[in-house]
Amino acid sequence: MGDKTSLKGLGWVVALALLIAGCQQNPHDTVASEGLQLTADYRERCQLLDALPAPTETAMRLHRQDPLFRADLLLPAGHTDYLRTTERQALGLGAYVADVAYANLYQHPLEAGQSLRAVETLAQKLNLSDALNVQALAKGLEEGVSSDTLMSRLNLGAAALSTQLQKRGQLPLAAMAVAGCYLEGLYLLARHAKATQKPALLAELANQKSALDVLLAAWPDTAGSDNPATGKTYALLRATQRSLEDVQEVALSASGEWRQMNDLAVYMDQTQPLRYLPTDKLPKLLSLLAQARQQLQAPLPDQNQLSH
Amino acid sequence: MQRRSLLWATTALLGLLLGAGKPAGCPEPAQVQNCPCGQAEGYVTVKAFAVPLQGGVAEHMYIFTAGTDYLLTACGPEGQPVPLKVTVLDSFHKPVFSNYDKQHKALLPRFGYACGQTGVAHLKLEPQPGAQGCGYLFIGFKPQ
Repeated sequence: MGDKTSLKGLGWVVALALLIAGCQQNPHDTVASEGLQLTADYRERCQLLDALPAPTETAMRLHRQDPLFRADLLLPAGHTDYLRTTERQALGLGAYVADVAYANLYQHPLEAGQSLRAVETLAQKLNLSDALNVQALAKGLEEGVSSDTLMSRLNLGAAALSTQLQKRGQLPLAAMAVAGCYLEGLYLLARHAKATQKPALLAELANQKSALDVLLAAWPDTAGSDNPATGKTYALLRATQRSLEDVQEVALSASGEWRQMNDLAVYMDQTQPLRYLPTDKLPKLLSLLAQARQQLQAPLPDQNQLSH
Repeated sequence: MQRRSLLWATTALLGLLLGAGKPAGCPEPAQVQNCPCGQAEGYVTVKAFAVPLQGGVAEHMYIFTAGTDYLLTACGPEGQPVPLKVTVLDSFHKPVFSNYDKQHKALLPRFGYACGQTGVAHLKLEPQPGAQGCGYLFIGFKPQ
C-alpha cells in the first residue's frame, strides 16, 4: 500500500515537472529577467534595438571617405551636469559613445578621453558602470592599444549597456541611448557630407534610413507621450525619417555567389544601391539634428536677460 | 525511509527536468571579447550574440550596410570551434546563405559577407545535436 502511494506521488511530481519544463520552452511566453516579467512585445522591441549598427560603423565609413578630423563637431564634454533627467542622461550617454568612436578613429586620444569621461559620468548616474568597463577603455587609450581593439570593446560595451537597461525593464532608456548614438553619428556624417559634398558620404546618409526605420519600430509606445525628453526625441526621429524618405534605395538585382578569397569563403552580394541623399536635403536634416543635440547642451540664455 | 527516498528522487528529478528545460546562462559577449576568434586583422567587432548550445534554435537581427565587408565567426568562449549552423535570412525570412559547406559537408567556423544592399537580416543560429556549453557569433566589420 505504502509503495503504491509512493509511486502515485512520484507520478504526480513527474507530471508537474514535465509541465513546468514544457512551459519554459514556449518562446512566446513572458520571460523573467532580473525578477521582471517581460512580454513578447517587449522582447521583440529589444531585438529590434539590438539590430541597429554599432557606434563605430558610421564613423569608420566616414573616416575612410574624409580623413579630416573636426574637433568642433564634438559635444562639449563638460555639459553632463545639465542632463538632469534619466532620459536625457541616456540620450547623452549614447551621443558621447558616438563621439568617443569618432575621435578615436581619427586618432585623437585627448578628445576621445574627454568624451569617454562624459560617458563614465553618465553611466554612473544611470548605474551602468559595470556594463561598460570605462576604466579598461581609458587605460587602452592611454596605453595606445590598437584602434580596432578599442573600437571592438566600445561596441560590445555599448551593446552591454543597452542589454542591461532592457533587462531592468527600462526599454525607454535603452531606446534613448541608442537614439543618442544614432543621431550623433548621423550628425557627424551630415556635417562632413555638407563640407565635402562627396557622393560616397551622401550615399552613406541614404543608407541611414534603414536603421532609423528599425529604431522607430522599436520605440516603446509609452515613451512618446508622458515624458518631454522621449517625446521630443521621438518627434525629431520621425521628422528625420521624413527628411530621408526620398533616398530609399532601389535594388538593381538580388543575387550573389560564394567566392574564395585567400583562405576565406566570402558571400558576394551583387545587389547595388542606386540612390543617395540630394545635397539640397542637407540643411533640413542638419537643422533637425541640431535640435536633437540642443537637448544635450547648456540651455540657451534667455533673450530677455540678454537685452538687459 | 520510503518517504525520504521519494523526497530525494523527486528533488533530483525536478532538478534534472528544470535544468534541461532552461538553457544555461552564457556570459555576455562583452565578457569574452578577448576570445581569439572574435577578432581578425583589419576587422572591428560590431556585434556579438551569445547562444546557449543546448538551448535550441535562436534568432537575432542585424542591419547590414551596403559597401561593407563583414566577417562572421562562430566560436566558443575560449575561441574553440562550435557546432553552430548560421543562416542569414533576408527581411522576408528567405534564406540567403549559410555557413554549411555543401562540398565538404561541414560548417565553416568563419565566413565573409560582402554586403551589397542595406537592410535588416535575420540570423538563425542552430546548435547541432549534442552541442554543449556556450557559443558566440561575432560579426566583424571592415569598410570596402
